[in-house]
Amino acid sequence: MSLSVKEKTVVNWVLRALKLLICIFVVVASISSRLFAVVKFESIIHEFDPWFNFRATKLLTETSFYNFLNWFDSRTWYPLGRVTGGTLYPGLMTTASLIWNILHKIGIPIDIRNVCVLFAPIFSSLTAWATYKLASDIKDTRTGLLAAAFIAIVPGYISRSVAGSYDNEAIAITLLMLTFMFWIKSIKTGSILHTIGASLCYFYMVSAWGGYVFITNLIPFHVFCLLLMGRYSNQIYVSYTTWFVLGTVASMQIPFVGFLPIRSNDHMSALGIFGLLQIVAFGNFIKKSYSQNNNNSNSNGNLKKVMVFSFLAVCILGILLLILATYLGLIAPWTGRFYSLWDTNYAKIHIPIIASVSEHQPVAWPAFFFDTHFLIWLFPVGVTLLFSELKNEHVFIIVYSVLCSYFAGVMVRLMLTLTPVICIASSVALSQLFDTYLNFYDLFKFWQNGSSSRQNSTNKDTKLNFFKFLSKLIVSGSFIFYLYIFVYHCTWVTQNAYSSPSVVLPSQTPDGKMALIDDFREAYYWLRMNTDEDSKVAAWWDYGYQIGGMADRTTLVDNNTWNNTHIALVGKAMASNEDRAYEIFNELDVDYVLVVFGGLLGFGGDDLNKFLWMIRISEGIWPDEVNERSFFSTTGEYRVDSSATQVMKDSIMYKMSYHNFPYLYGENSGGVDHVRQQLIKPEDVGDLKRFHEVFTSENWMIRIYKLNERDNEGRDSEFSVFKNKSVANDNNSNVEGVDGSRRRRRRRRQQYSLLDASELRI
Amino acid sequence: MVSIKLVLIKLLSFILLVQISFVLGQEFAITEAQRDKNGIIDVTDENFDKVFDLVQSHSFGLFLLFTTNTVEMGCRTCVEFNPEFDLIAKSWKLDHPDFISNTDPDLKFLFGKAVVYSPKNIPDIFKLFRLQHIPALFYFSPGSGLHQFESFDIQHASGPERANQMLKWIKRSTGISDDTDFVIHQQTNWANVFVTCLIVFCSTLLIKKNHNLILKLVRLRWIWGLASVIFILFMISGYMFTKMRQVPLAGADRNGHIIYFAEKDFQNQFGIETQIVALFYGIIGALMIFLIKIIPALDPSNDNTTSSDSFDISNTSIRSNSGHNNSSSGNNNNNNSNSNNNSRTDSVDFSFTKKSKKKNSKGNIHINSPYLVYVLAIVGTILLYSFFAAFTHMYSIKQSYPFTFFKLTSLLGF
Repeated sequence: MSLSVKEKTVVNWVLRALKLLICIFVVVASISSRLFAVVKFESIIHEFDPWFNFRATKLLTETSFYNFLNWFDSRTWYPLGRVTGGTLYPGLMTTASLIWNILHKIGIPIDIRNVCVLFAPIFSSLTAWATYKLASDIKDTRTGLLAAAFIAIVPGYISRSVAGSYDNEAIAITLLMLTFMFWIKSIKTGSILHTIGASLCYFYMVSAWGGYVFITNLIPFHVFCLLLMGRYSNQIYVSYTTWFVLGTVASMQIPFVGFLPIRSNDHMSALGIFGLLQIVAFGNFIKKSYSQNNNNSNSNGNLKKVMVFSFLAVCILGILLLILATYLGLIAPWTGRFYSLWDTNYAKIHIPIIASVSEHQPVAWPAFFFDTHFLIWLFPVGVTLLFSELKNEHVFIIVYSVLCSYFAGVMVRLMLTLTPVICIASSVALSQLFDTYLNFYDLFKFWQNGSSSRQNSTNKDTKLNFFKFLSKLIVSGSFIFYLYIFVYHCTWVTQNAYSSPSVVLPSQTPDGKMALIDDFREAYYWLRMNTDEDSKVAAWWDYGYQIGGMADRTTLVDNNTWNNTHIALVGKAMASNEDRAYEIFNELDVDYVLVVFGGLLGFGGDDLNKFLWMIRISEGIWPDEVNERSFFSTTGEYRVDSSATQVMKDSIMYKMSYHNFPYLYGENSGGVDHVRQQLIKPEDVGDLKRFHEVFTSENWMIRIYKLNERDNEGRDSEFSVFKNKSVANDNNSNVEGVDGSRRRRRRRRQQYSLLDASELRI
Repeated sequence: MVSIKLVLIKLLSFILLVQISFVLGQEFAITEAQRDKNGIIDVTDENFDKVFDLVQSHSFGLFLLFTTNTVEMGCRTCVEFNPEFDLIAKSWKLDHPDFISNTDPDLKFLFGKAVVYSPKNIPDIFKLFRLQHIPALFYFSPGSGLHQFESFDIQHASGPERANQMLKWIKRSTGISDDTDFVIHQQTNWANVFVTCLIVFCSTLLIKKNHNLILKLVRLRWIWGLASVIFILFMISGYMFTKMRQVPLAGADRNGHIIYFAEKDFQNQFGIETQIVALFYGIIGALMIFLIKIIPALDPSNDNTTSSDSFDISNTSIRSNSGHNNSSSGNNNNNNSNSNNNSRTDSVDFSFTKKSKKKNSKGNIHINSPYLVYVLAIVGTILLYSFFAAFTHMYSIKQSYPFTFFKLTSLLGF
């Protein structure tokens, strides 16, 4: 095949244009598939953590950067407060506010909320670009384009980057891919420029997500594997040492990280490999100068032995030193979260608060297929193919996939870090397949030759070529069909499972129309409008960020679970009887208590279902006062109906959840709890003497109670004349409210049935 | 007088008899417990009265476990819990051969087990206590009635923690204050120790003798490749889930039939599911490797493996040469020119290219007819399709899923 120079340039331009077109399509797909959440619901911040990030971003745009870094938040963790500026990863907020500032400078007055909502989709398109570059370095541009297309729509990544999911992960995966991309480039070329890119991206990553520890350990591990394989080269030396020094110094600039990189065990492997690399480089230098001087093979063998033994000795010595330093307290031991990855029972026994988070549960196999569809079986194929070549950058992908498939199996949230490598490895496999089967060049040539010399070609040859064409068509066609299904699968998953903001719950009316259950915002808005600005709201920590963000009231505990004891205190109050709880809440200055109750609607994630964790966490601190077993019925079950234990019925969590609930369907019939499918009878639910109901949302999902105030002489409400009156008033108004809403409720109950979507998500 | 004497004697002997029978009853249960190597009374319908008599009239406490030892009942916790209970009971017996506390002579208790041996024949005691779940562990304090018992929550904890919790509970409910009075005597498993020693010894010996061979093995690439791919396969099939949650290998439905898949349960699985899924992924992956690696190597007409390169005029695509290509690139170029010259118009050419190919291709197997290769490729594709289709159906057991393959109509609906 001979092409003229002119033809070649034309072909080149066509290829470039095609590539650009594909890239544009990938970007469009990656952004638009993440907009389901906005289209189906509205432009709203999702879930829990994003509300805190949103609140912090707002503060950053309103005040200055230094104020933000020095931010002491007295409105959370009351009465302790939180040194928020020093305990957060500022990368996300600063990026968002930077974008907002730039947009304002060029005259686009966009709301900061919209910047935050659209933040993740925009950055996911950047991720696609970085993955394209990374995969191109692994095999070729065809692989890169496939990988970019995969990462753009794969549900495993979309799960954390839909519009509105304004979380650290939204930017962190982009930075993860960028760091790896630069790292691979620098390993290949040994260029310091690329390494500086890797360290800067690493610094950005450290500023954005706690998961940066993954990079801190993966890159050294890659280098270690290369050393063990005897692949030491100057490129590796230059890129690793530059990355380590620059990256470590840069990462220490983040206030929350501080001196951790030299003081904690999580980071020690990077330091150890740095030292090891110096020794290996030194040994290599000696070997080189030695072998130049004499060519005696025997002495070379001796040198090799010395090298191997000193290598082993250094490794062992380093590990011993590490253990000693940890023992002496010079280096902090591994953090609980990190440790629980290796010893899988660790968290369950020692830190129930980590074990209680659903993100930290192990993954059953359906979740893998759900999140990646057919990429999941392409993934091992890709790894196998990489083994057959095994260049330095392939070792990286292999190490990454082996480690991360383990991590993802242990913790569902780490599925997020596995997804990019699945995309890359499977695109290697698929592009290799397409290289063979989607390549009809031979046939073109045959037809071309055939037309000129038809008389020469026999009939048999035509048949042969036809069969070849057919088999290629069938093989590649079947895979194109899988790709087609893959797109449908991804769209389906994104639409059904990952686009719910979980602040607003989707539900369906009997005629199939979509209806929204908006109890959370209703309740938070009520708090914002009807309570004193300084009032303190006690709720389980899951709702801390939302109360702070939406209701703007002071909370006791929130999703930044830095103080286990404080959380346990709230759990203890919820688990104890009314008098004791009143005492605890009074000591904490609490004005309102908020509980989430799903019994009317069948909302499974309510406080009564989380109640066991409250008990468990507080039992860990006060084993004498709270006893988990006393909440189980005699048959050892978790019951809430008449067979519940007295301790259970006395706890204020029970009382507040079911207060007035049995009367909802008539005086004596009792109410059926639709989450636990049990009948609650009026005689089971005791009266509240020291709290009174002030608000119950439309579907009873949020119930807010106020503590009865003590009178001037400090006596409890029970004995207070004035208080009794006010309680009576409150009760009256409540009864009316309940009566009024009862009729509405019965109607509504028939109308709505909760969608399963919220349950699909783990 | 005589009659009075007679009556007295009768009365005395009656009292004696009663006492003897009392003592005998007590003796029976205790000797039963002493005879058992774990110190556990096997409580059945027949001897239950006698055993319970100990509690009511002889100030013995009783820990009664309702359990099963058959797999047919489908109670995994029972099977797991039995050895823990045995261990505790045995430890108690070891320190207290007559089941009386060392510190407090009034404190005495026994361990008993009521066992379901087959699902068809459930003893009446289980009905007596209206049990809905087994295993259940009850404590009858001395002198208590039939339904005055404390129960221990077995379901809650697992593993070594559970045995400790049970011990704590036992101490609390019986009121043993001295910590040394009741300690668990963990049995040293000598067989394990011995086997470990043997393995360590043998392996060191092997390494010392064959260190060259082992070094070679360690350096073999395909061993590492196989190991990591198998590792990945198990990890993505939920192996860690089965390990951490300690799920059973398979379950049983209401009728007692074995089921392999936890139906409609997206977040849960059985142990065997991991193996099935890993097997499916493995088969599909192997077919894929077959298509990518083996078919092109077999194909006699496809001798110039670098044909795609000649199409890559664009310098933008950096196609990496595979390892063996690199080593024999010279040969390949020869082939290229050969085949290009002859244009593969004649079947003789195939034999020629085949010969030259034999030199550089790694496989020794060769198929003369190119048709067979094409057929193989198509068969591989169809197999892959059917395995994937079957897999999607398997997936639809776990979750209602619209994209199962055999129902292609559902796709046309879009």
